[in-house]
Amino acid sequence: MLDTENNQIIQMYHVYKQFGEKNVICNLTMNVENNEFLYISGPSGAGKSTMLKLLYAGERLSKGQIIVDGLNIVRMNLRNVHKLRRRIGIIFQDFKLISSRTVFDNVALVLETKGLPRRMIERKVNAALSRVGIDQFANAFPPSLSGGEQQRVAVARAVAGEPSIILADEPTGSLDPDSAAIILNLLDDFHKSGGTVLFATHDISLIEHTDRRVVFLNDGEMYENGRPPYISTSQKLENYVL
Amino acid sequence: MNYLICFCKGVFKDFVSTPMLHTVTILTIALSLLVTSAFGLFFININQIFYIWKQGIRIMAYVSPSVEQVNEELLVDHIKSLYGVNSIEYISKKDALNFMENDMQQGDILSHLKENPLPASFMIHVKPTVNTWETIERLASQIQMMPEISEVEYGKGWLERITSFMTFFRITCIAIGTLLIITTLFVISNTIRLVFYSRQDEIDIMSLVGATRWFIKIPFYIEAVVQGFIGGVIGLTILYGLFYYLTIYNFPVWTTDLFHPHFFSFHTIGILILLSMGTGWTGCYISLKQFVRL
Repeated sequence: MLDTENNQIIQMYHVYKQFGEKNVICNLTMNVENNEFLYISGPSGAGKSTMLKLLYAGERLSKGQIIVDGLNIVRMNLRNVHKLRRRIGIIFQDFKLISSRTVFDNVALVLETKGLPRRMIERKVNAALSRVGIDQFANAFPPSLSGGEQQRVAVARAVAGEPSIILADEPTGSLDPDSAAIILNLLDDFHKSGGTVLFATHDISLIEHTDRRVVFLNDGEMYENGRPPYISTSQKLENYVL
Repeated sequence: MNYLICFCKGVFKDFVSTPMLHTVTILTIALSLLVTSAFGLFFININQIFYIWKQGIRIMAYVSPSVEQVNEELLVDHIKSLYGVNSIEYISKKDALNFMENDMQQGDILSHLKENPLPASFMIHVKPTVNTWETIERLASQIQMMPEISEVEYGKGWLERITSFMTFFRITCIAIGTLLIITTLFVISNTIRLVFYSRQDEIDIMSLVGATRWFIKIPFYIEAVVQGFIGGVIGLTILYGLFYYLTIYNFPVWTTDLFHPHFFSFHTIGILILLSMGTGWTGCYISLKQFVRL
């Protein structure tokens, strides 16, 4: 499904997204390479979350083209959205866990939607929970866990389906620094195992010393796109973000 | 199979987590089916009484006095060919006089008559399956039109009233049944909508992790069909209890040599439960079609 010639797993061409009269995403053209760890940054309201929503078809784009892992989102029927979402793991700032289901069942849901046999589900869920270090909470309910632990459950759910891409929308936004570091390491592990990560954040400390590509959005437009030292200095970043 | 286990698990959990909502739906279905089936049961038993009574319906056709020689066989064949005729009996002038003599206390009065004044006649028994007043009337007028027949008698007044009552009763049963089914559909669709709203976050998350629209919808359908089944069984059980209490246990007077009140056959019970399950399914379909955009 990958654009093998260019090794690009996500392609966006002149993408626009409007809510009423307001352009939330404006003429955005960018590509993401396979096995890339890309930061998407910018101030609140810049369009980071909307951009991720467009990638998992949580919103329909107004104009342009998006191809994710070989699937053209514009041409995709609403009935086939599951095909796209099974190739993507999504992590949210507010975790989006089902509070009435146990940690195990939350993670198992991804595999149940695929109709896998129970035994295989158990094996994969246990592996995912061990991977994020919360296997001891398998029978706990999400509200009884800390924010960091809940986010680890969300990461386990995202990786359990063995996706090729993880879209993380401010995954560390509501976590303390230690928990944030754990989540970042888990996403790093996924990246090292061959996955692609799009990490949306407004946390300057996460991106100022990175050697990874950073895309800055401002008012829905691409402000900068590159890797340090080609992009702004940390002082410039602070001025920009704050 | 894996999906089925997953769906059944989900349905069971939902029944346990929102028992009140499901109980109300089940009781509504049970009540609707109880009232509709009670009408149906009453109707089929009344119909049975009517059927027995109709076996006794007969039309008397009198031969015109101007006809000197009746071609009995030809007339019988002609009348028998008409729709609705079960059997036919010819009563000659002589037989009629004999019947009259036997019926009268002072039969010797008739021996003073110079000639027999009674006409020959045909006693025509109508098929019990003829269930409309119009059919009997049409049959009588067809016989009346025969040149050999001078007069036809068949108790027009009360026959008309009874058949009209039966028709009215049948229409009332169908109307009430339809209204109750519509009410039930409305209640079920609203219940499913409430369940759906209460689980909106869960459904959104399911959709985000790659669930198909059917993966999300099927548990609701299973739930509605199960509610229909349980409601149907409860409704029919209550009806049988009432039937048993009223006819067999408490008032055996209903039972006579000719008429035994009877409950629905197993076949009909099966159909009623299927109808109840179908009502659940349709209610769910309406709700999901109208309010759910997946």
